[in-house]
Amino acid sequence: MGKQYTLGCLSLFDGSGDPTHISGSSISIDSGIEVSGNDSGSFYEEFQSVIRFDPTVNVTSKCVRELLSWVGLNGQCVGTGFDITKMDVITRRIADCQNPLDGTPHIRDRFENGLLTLGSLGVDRQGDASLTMVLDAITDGSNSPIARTDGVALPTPVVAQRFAMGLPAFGGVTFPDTENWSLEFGLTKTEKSPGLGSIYTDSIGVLTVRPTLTIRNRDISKLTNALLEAVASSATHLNTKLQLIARKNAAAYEDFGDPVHVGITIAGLLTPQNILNAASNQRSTNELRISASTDVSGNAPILFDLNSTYDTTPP
Amino acid sequence: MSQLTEKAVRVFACCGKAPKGVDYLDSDELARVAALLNDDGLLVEGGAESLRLLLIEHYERRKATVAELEPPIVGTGVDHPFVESEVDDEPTSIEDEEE
Repeated sequence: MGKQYTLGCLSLFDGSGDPTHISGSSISIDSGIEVSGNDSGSFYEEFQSVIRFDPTVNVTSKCVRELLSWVGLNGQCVGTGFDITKMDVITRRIADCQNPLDGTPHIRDRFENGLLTLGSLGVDRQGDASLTMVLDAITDGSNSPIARTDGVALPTPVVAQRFAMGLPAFGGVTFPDTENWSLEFGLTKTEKSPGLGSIYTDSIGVLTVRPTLTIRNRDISKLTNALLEAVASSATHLNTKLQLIARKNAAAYEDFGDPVHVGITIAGLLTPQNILNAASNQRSTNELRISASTDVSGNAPILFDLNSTYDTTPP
Repeated sequence: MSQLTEKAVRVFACCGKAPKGVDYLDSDELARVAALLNDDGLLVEGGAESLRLLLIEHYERRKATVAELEPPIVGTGVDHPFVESEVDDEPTSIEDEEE
């Protein structure tokens, strides 16, 4: 029987080279390889060359607080001299009855240079919050952006966190009947292209950050006639807040007074997107959107407080 | 977490940066970063630009430290046997030629 693998964990190395191992829900590494022919006009292609090798790593994880402590709204460079010096993806080999495992049967994919950016953060009323992020791996100038080692041990300990939806407030009004919300971080990056004489991407940077928050809400009366007449309302860091409550192992939640929860404030423009979505014998909902923007002092449009207590009366 | 660190973490958040970076600030940098926070928990005027300039200095210092820790690699190529130049083999004077 052949070898089989499953997801192990994600490891981030800090500026001192010390790793933190973080659990993930799913990780996908795409090669980004591009192959092109010679446009000869012949019936069959005669010539194939690899013109680009551009790996990207897509991560989905419930470890929201841990990952946001490493990667900020603007993204985070990975490489020597940065706050993250490298990133590993560990794939765990599955034991089967025919092939007992030896000590180090697992696989490590290592990325020593690149850019980590946030994708989205969302939570449903009953589910766990989930964060996605992307690593655009680049070359150090000569080596491949990815290095695979077959035969490593599983790292320990692995950080595992879960967060539930907390009571949010938008424009100074609490929304206890929120069904779900999703925050798209909306980063655009520079176009990736290989360095001269190379198939590896040699540079990547963030161009713009344009986050949007979408809120689906059961209490359609929260969308008032005043808001409809005004079409939009102002959201500020002082009146708009999302909260994530840390779940506790072998219990329900961490103590609300402990600074282990996540608070997120947003500045921007609050608009109704879907005024009413109703069907017979089903619960009606509506949808609000906040298009986030900076303020006069230049504060980021989204502020994370990763050492927040849970506020039962936000904002 | 000290009050200075808390403030510095908040300043980093206000500038879209992850709090991990605060761990590497020295005490002087920490105080300078913390001073960029207003009482309302948001940046003072010009705070974002001040942090940017401070971090440029900070990362230059960090890069220099990394460079010190990682001395340049020398002599990595294959050792080539010493080859005498043709010039050395040639006679250096008319007298040599005569010999």
